[in-house]
Amino acid sequence: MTFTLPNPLALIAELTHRCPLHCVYCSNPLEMQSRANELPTEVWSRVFKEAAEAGVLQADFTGGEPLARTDIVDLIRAGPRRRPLRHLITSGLPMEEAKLAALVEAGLDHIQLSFQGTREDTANEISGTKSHAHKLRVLEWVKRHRIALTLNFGTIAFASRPLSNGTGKTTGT
Amino acid sequence: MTPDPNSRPRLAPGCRLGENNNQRVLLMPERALRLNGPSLEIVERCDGKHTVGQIVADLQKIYSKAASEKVEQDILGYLALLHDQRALDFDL
Repeated sequence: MTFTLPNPLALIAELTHRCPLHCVYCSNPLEMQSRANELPTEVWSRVFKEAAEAGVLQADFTGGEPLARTDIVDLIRAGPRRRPLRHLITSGLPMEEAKLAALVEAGLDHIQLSFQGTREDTANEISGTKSHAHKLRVLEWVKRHRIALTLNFGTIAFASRPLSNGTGKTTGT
Repeated sequence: MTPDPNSRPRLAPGCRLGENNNQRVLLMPERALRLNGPSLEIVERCDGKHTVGQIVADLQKIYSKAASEKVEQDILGYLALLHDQRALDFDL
């Protein structure tokens, strides 16, 4: 007797554990695998081709911060044109407009952009970086390049109001 | 919203037709919708060229045994649903 496994629908590729943000709530490892141990371009490219052949419809490029990979444009381009749908899950911090243009040209369909708050002061405090203003710039570029956009907000109790102790550290949510 | 009969629906950025195991699907960010029969006939025509009115007329021909009024209402409802799900834009 034979049976067939249903084919996979999505591939989630954690390209790196490196991340420029220092969010107070984050529990992701910063270095589960060191930079030197990350999979090289050719291995990821092969994985994406095989995933597409296996019928994967959605590919998430995530991390850490996937833009920390200098080969991110080549990775987005790997695999068949227009299949699967390619998503970049990013802080936006290392994004530049020319980089976004190159990613879109390579086949990027959709960006998930994280925000750590609705106000510059609290968002910067929560993320431990001066990142909020740049994320707003990235939003403008995304609109210009007309690709799909999802905003990811960390919904933590203090995200909507200023922190009281001003240190970026909290004693609980 | 009720789609304007003269508008031309097209798939929104980040959405496209795909296939998995011979099953046609509408791919959207983080989601996929299986398309069969009328839903596939409708989405295949959301190409920025067909007007809503043309899509209705085409499907009324294909499903000529169904009440034409009902076909129209079903199509308008489905287009509005896809628009609410951010899968369609309408060019005027």
